[in-house]
Amino acid sequence: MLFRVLPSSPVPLGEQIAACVRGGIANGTAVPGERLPPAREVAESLGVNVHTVLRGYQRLRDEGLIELRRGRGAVITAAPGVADQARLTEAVHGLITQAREFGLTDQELLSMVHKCLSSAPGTTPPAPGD
Amino acid sequence: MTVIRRCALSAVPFGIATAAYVGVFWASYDRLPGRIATHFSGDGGADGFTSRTAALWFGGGLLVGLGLLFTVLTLVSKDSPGARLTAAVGAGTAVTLGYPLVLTVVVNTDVQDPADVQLPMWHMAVLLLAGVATGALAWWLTRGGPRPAPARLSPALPLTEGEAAAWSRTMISRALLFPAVVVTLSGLFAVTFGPWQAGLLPLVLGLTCAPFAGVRVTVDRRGLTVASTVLPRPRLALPLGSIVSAGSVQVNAMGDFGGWGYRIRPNRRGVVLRSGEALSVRTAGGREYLVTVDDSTTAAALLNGLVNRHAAGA
Repeated sequence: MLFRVLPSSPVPLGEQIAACVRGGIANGTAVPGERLPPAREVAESLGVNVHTVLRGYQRLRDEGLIELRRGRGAVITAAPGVADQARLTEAVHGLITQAREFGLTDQELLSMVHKCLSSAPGTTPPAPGD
Repeated sequence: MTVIRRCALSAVPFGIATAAYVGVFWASYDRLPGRIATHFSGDGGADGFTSRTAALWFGGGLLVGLGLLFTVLTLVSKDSPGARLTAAVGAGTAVTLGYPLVLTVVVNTDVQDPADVQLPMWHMAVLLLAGVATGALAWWLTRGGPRPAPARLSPALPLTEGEAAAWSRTMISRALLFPAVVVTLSGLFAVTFGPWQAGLLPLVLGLTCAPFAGVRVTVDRRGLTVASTVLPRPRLALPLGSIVSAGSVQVNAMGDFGGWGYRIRPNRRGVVLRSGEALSVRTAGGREYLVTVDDSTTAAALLNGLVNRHAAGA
């Protein structure tokens, strides 16, 4: 797992760390079931605060890419399709960055995505509970 | 020299020794006493005896077993420099064992009392010389083997000023973990149900080896660190300032290092937990350090990038 962070970047360090792991899962250098280095060690290696690394790991857990367990540390989710999910999340993050650069508001971006979704070919699978 | 030919060089001397031993034994079986002299003291007199059948099975089994062992060792060593030594030692061992085994049968033939059998000491000198000569011959025959491939240097990862970068990977060797756990459990079993002295050694051995079945390899601003996943020390640490370059290399544990674990060779040290991909680091002292780990090209590229930036900044 390769971590690269730029402290001078406007992107928060935690997000940068999460992006590194996401990228690793997306391109296959990090495989499902692989154990991530403990947050304390990553913090020491990069010279950042341990809470910053933990914030990044929690972000990845919220995205469903890793599992955080007491005593076992952070493990990449073994569920099939985790690499696809990482790629998709990466694309969404890219989309958001681009929208911000162009000065779009969140509402404008969402309505744009909605419009594209309604005109996209193919059907979406029925939502659970239908 | 192909692997097949080198294996043949290990197997054929043992095959000949086994055939000679069993052949001589079979031919003179009826002329041997019921118990034959199988051990001799310094003055050449017999002082140890074994039954005819047991001696045949023991001698034959020893030759076949060692023959298989050396052939397999040569086979797994593949094209590495250690394969040549394994083949040579195997051929030498076949002669050093085959000669006295055949000789024992010959001197026991046509005797009434096995206690009268003599085996002069000068045969010792002959078998040792013959063994060394055969080993040297096998060494000479396997000459011209391929040289070990030098570590392929990885292109440096470009790092911008102020960028913090780190690479980390955990490697767990099941091949090492499994035996360590089995030895620990057997030690625990012996301590609980048997005499505690018997279980102490396996328990200590297992508990010492188990933590090192899993290692974490870290490359960062401090350099290269290899440590057990559970214990902070002992660990292998190479500071960034002492590193010249890094690359990715393929290693064969048995052939290049003669086994697994922390291996020391002239100018070459390694944490070898398996065969295959390894990170190779060259230090300013001219020494090469190897760590078997996946994704070693990324680690080497980062290390080269960090070394370049360190050199530019210094």
